[in-house]
Amino acid sequence: MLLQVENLHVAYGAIRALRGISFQIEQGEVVTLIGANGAGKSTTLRTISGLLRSTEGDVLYRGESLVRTPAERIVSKGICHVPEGRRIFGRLTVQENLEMGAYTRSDSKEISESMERVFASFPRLKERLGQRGGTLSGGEQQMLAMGRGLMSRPALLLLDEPSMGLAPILVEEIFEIIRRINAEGTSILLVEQNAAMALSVAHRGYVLETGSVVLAGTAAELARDPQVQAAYLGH
Amino acid sequence: MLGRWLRRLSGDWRWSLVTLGGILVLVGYLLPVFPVRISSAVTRFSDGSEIVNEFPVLVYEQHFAQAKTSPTVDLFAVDVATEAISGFSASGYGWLATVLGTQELIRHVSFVLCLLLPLVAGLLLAASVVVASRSRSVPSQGWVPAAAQLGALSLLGLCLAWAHQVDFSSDLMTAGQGALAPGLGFWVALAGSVAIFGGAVMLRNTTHKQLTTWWALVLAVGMTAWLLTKVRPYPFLEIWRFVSDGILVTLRLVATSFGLILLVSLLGGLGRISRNPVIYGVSSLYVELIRGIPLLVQLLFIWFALPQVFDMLGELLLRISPSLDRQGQALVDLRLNPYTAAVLGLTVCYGAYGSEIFRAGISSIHSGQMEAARSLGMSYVQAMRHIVLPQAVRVILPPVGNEFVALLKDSSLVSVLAVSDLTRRGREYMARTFLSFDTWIMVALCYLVLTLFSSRMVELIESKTSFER
Repeated sequence: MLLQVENLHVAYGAIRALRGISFQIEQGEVVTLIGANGAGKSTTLRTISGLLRSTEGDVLYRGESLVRTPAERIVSKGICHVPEGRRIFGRLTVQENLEMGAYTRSDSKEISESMERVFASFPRLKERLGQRGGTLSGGEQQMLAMGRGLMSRPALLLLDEPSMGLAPILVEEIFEIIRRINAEGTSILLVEQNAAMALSVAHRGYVLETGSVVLAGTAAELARDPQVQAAYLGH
Repeated sequence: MLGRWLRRLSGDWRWSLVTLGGILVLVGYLLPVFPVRISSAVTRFSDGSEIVNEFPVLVYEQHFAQAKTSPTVDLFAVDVATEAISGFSASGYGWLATVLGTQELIRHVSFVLCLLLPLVAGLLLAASVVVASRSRSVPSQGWVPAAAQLGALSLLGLCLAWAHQVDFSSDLMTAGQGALAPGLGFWVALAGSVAIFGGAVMLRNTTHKQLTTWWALVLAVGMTAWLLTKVRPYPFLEIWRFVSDGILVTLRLVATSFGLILLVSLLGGLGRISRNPVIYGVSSLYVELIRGIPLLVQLLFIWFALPQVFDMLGELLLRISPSLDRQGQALVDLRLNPYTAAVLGLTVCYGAYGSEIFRAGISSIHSGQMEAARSLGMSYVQAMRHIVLPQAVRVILPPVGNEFVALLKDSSLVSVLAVSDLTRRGREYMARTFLSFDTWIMVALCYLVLTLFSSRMVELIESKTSFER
């Protein structure tokens, strides 16, 4: 068991965003959380990566609790969060953005190896190496955000809405890359509104509604489920 | 050579005019600029006494020496001996060479500047035309405001250089009986300056840049103050000599407290965005309380009431426990010196305003930047230090610059604390001589030069660090 979330409650002041969700991720899996706006998907990711504090419940990573660990220590334990809306450093170049991704590491030789691996996944980033992050297109910025996340060599990558605001052809490209990153051994927790694409790359999935898990199963099961089809796949 | 340049530029005759002006200045400086000079002056008074001034190169401080005599005697006459200068020494270059070679260069530094301004204008414009003729085009638009300003400076410099000859003394001017009239070279250079200025002003439609800069205002106010000391050395030069040490005190006070204010503002601003309720509460209370009390009242409190607070605290310590008598006695004996009290008062007050500026600046940086930094493994402090603050500084800079200018003005309030700043020195001079109008004009001009200069600097720094977001 790589990550286990148990009965997690999170509140923004008086608003209860998560009302006791539980799920787990095995080593090497792609797990997706799907659901409508405000279901609590991003809140879940932000709580796992330590940006938010839970009011109740536990997050276990390789059997160790993370709920009291500060965000920066969680990164060095091997969980990397690629936040929604990309959040790249617009004034820094592509290369500098990637170097920032390796902030927790000090092994300069292996860092350059990691960068080569990122370029293998995202050849476009290599072409744009000296360009400022803010001048990249939306798809390139998403690639940069993911590449930057990979620079910390995570065992578990948390991706928040990687397809947001991208053209369909770019969405396909991004998901192809997600598949490849997973094939190289990184487990992925994927949060998506584009349920069809998410279920096509995921092994298993959970459906969230107003802060609770309402449905769980393998990706194939969920894709066949009439409720999911009606609500998220538009059939 | 000259013809070729002018033909190149003939696409626009206005540029030709500017170029011609530059060349006229350079040529005019070869001709006699000031062919006669005053070598000595004897000032006679009604009681038979006289002051003899020998001028090795230029007249200086003649008028002041006359005005400083006892008010019971009248100025009777001024006799002037003049000396003709021949050849190269009478030209602009010759004058510069002579003055630069004198021992008392520091006394003539303003004359040297006045003579150099037109020369620099001429040289720069000639050089720009050489560059332009190489690249086969009219100088770029950016040169238009520069040429206009160079022309104006050149005009100003020449006129003031002539005034230097007589040290603004109407007595000397009369006694010199026209011997001080400028030579042909002066008029040629003056015509050149007018041509530069006029040509550049006519070119103003070709550029979107503004011809005037507010630096000219700083210069004008500075010149006014300086002219006052020249035209009426008594009392203005005396006031200047009396209050000038106050300027240094004011500047030192402002610099010291501004450094501390930045520190307090940073801490206060971080406190105001803290999630820790105690830190947030303390910093908010500080900001709200201090902003509601006038600076003058705060200064008076620190100077007059704080010693009493120390006394009470010290006595309390002495009463509580004999083992604390050393600390207690130290508190009773503690007295702030006026300067420290002033720095403390300004820092506490402006730190509160600064805290709000820093808070607003930090909040203006998109929360995603902090989020991104945190999810890359930076701690809160590291992310603040390396990601958020460097971006916030550029937002904070303009209002902090305004605070600096405001601080400079409000520092006059510390004159109530027996700190001999500019205002206090002005009051002391007025109390001594009852020359209220002259004193406060001079003090106001000193403050104006300081504030105008610093707000221009702030503007400059702003434009260098501004960026698109």
